[in-house]
Formats: sequence, C-alpha cells, structure tokens
Amino acid sequence: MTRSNLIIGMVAFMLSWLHTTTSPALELQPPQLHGYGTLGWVHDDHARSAFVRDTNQSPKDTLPDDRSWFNNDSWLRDSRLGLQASMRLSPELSLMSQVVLRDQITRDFGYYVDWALLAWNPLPETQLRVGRVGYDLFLISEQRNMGYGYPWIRPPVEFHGWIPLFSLDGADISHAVVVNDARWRVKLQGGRSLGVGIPMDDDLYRLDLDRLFVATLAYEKGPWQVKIGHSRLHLNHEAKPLSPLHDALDGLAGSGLPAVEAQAAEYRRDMSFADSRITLSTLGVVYDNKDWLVQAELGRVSATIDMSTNHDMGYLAVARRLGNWTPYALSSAIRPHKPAYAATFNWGDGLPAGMADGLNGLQQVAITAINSSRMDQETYTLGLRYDVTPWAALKWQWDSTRIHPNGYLLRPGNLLDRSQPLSVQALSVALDFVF
Amino acid sequence: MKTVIALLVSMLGFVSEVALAENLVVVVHPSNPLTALTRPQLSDLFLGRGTTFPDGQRATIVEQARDSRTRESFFRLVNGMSLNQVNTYWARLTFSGRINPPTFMTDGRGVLRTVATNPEAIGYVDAGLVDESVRVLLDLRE
Repeated sequence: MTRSNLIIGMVAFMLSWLHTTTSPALELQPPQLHGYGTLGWVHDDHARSAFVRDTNQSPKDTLPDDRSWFNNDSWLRDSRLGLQASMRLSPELSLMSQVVLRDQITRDFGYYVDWALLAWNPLPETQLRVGRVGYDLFLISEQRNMGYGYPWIRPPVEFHGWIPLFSLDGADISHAVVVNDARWRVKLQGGRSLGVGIPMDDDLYRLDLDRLFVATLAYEKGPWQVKIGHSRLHLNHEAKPLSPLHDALDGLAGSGLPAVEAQAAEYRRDMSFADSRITLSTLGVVYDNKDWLVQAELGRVSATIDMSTNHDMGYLAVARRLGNWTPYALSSAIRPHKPAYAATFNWGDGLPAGMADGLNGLQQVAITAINSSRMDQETYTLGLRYDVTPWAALKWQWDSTRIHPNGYLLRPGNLLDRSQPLSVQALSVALDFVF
Repeated sequence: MKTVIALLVSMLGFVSEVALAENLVVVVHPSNPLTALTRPQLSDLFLGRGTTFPDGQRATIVEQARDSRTRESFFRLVNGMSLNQVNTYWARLTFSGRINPPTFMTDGRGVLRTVATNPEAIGYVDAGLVDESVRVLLDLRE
C-alpha cells in the first residue's frame, strides 16, 4: 500500500465513522466535521506576468497566449475549500484529518490531504502526533490556507510563496509549560514530504523532501507572542526537467577547453538538486491587544546549491479592529543573498562560429536556469476586512509589487525580459468563511 | 419624534436582552474539588491555551452555541473579546490541527446536562438554569 493510499484510507475511515459512531463515551467530543473556505478574485495590471500565490501554482493557468490587459484576473488563485474531520477516541487519543482543495499544480488527491494524524496526549500539556502533520515553522504555518484566520487575503507572498510546504509525513512532539503567567511551548518535528511541486516550463519538479526536521520555541504572554524556528530539508533526487541541461553540461567534460569545463562543472554543481540541503531560520513576533494586531516575521533560508533558495525575507503587518471593520497595511520583501549569475567570459570566444554559437547558447541557458530561482521583490499592501457575520468576512485588498531584475520566481512570465524591473498593481476581493 | 421613541424603545429592548444574557455563572461537576478560578484562568481554558484546572486535573470545556448571544456575553465578560475575534481565534487553533474543537451545545440546558455527567467538564450557563446537578465555580455577575 502506498503512502497516499494509506492517507486516503485513513481519511475515508474517519469520514465513515463520523456518520456511524454514537458511543456515549464520546459525549464530550463526538465526531465533528468542520470546514473553511475562500472565494477569492484577483486582478492585476500586467498582461505578461502571472500572479501566483505560491510556487506550487502553474503560471499557465493565468497566462494564456491571448491574455490581454483586461482579462488578467483569476478566481482560482485564492479560492480554496478545507474540510476537517476530528474525533476524540479517549481523553488522551484523538484522530484528525483535513483536506484542502486549492489551486495547485500537483493534483493527485494525496497532495490535497494536509493532515491525517493520530494525536496522543499522555500529559495535558504534552502531545505526540503521528501521521501527516502540519509543517509548523512560521507564525501561521498551519493556517496559511485559512483566510478567515488572518486580516489579509493571503499570507505575504514574499515570505510564504516560495515554500508551499504544508505538511510532512512523520511525527512531532510538543510540550508546554507556564512560568510566571508566560506560556512556553517547544515543538520538534521530523519526517518527509512529497507536498511541493515547482513548475519548470512545461514540466514539473516534484520536490521529494526527506530528513525534514523542524524545531520551534514559542512564548506567549498577554498580548505578546514570539516564535523562533529552525528547519532543515533534504532533497533526494534531481529535477527531471533539468536533465537535458545537466547532460549538455556534463558533455563538456574533456572538451579540451579548461576554462569552459571548469565553469560548466561549477554551473552543473549549482543546479544539482539531488542530495542538496536547505536550512531555514525564522523569528516572528505578534502583538495583539484585541484592538491592534501587529505582526512581524523575519526569515533566512540557505541552500547548498545556488539554484535553490538563498534568501532573506520578512514582513510587517498592522491591523486595527474597529467593530466589524479591520483596516490593515502590510509590507513584505524577499532578497537574494547573492547577485545574479552573469557570464564572466563567453564560452565560444576564439572558436569557429558554429561551435561558438552553440557554446554561448548553452552558457546562457545555464545562467538563465540558475537565475530563474531568484526572488527579489517587495510588496506594499493596503486592505480592509469586514466581518459580515461571526463566521464570514469580506475583504478588499490592493497590492503594489516591485520585482527587481532576475528576481522573478514569484512572478513568472514566459515572455518577460527578466533582466528588467517590473512594477505590478493587483486588486483582490475575497469572502472567507468557516462552518 | 415617534421614530426617536421607537428607536429608544428598541435600544432598551436590546440592552435588556444583553443584560439577560450576561446573567452568567461558570459551572463544574459537583465532584470537582476546585474552589476558585480567576477570569484569566477561565479565559485561558476557553481559548484552548490551558487544558488543565489550576490543580492540574484535565479540563474539558463545554461551549454554548457558537454564534449565540450567551457566548458573546461570556467572552466580553471574561476577556473582552468579541465573537468575531473568538471565532477567528478558535478557527486558527482548530484548523491548525493542534487541538480538537470544543463541543458546542445548542443551549444552556445541553451545557448543564453535559457538565452534570462529566467530572472534567466546565461550562457556563444562565444563573437561572442552575440546579443541584452542577456546582457554581464562578459567578460572572460579580
């Protein structure tokens, strides 16, 4: 039985039990079905770049060949539907599963199952969970899909958009203590994940992540909340869409052009995902006194290869609750650690024209490929949330994004000259609800 | 003038309804040994931050109907949160997979019955509903 089948079976089992069990022992926590959703629409003013909420969304969905200024909109990007089934088997044991239907390029059912877990609380403040659990590194890691839970329409793209990793298959353990009215919570997670796919031209790179670890420490007292986190991910296979490029670069070995061979080998290493590692560190602070919500988070991600993510990112959000109205402002940015790759010399220099053209072309393709993973942009956001009922909120949001040269991963566009900066304005409307 | 009077009458009616809903007491099972609970401790329990009573015993909260005026009044009295804020807070907890959502009863009598039959339960009801099947732990009218 594959892992996906196991997850699907667990979900089906819970849903079937949901409708059949009437055990009096569960009176305090009978099986429950809850859900949430977002109906969202986004429009932007740039016809040749695609709006994506995260890198697991295909730019082609909103970038048709005949795209014009007037049809740069999408109902898919922010719309989603989540269903959660939970039940308590005993005071210490509970089952939970959550399926989230959203626009993403990996469309097998297993990729829509965010959690399917068994939780055991041997002590009231200690919890061990096994199965598919939420990847819990950031302040709102486990709530990124639930728009009702935060003021804005979507989590800051610059902070969350490059890592649409929602869950891991494995286990976690958390323990909380209260000291001087302050609540401290430590959590460790370990496992693997198949949950991320990255579009690469017409193909897809499924990130098979293993040896995935997360450690977080959270502090909560009064209106303050602080969370620091550290995570490591290991990629265990190559990106198949890059195979032709890998082969071409490997083919230069023994070409008798030492400088070209050395640089080709360097490029080849910098785009070798197999056995590469990613390290993330984050620090988040929240101040929420019921009237004001101020939330800020900083992150640093480093990888062992340059074509992976090597960036610093952060955001600052401020929201003011005025009855049912919540105006908010948000600013977020992501910056690469290194400047973009550029040719230090032309591989074809001094060679016959035909061969020179081929080598120069290969060199340019390799440089473009490595630079394609760079993210270098910032967004300024203004918005308004209106709580229509205690279970639904309507939101309007305006985003102004500036993308710097060669920093286009979060704003893909096949026809763009990525060496040029780009400024994009986007208008979004969303209805978030829970049930 | 008639419009103003009608408006005042309707506002008085609203205030009266709120006042009725604020006639709340916190109840536990008669066997629960706890003798006192502060409002911050109560708030932590009903926000899922704490899962035990101050004496270390496991606590299970029993909620009124999710969108009820009783629940709205309870949180305003205990920690000043609006129903929108409470629902948003609980939605974040529930859909993060960290904690099972609380059990919601349809009315105060349901809360009373559940607390009366579960030693670890804690709930809140209109003071007028209380009988010998439960014990009042905290009077929110004080």
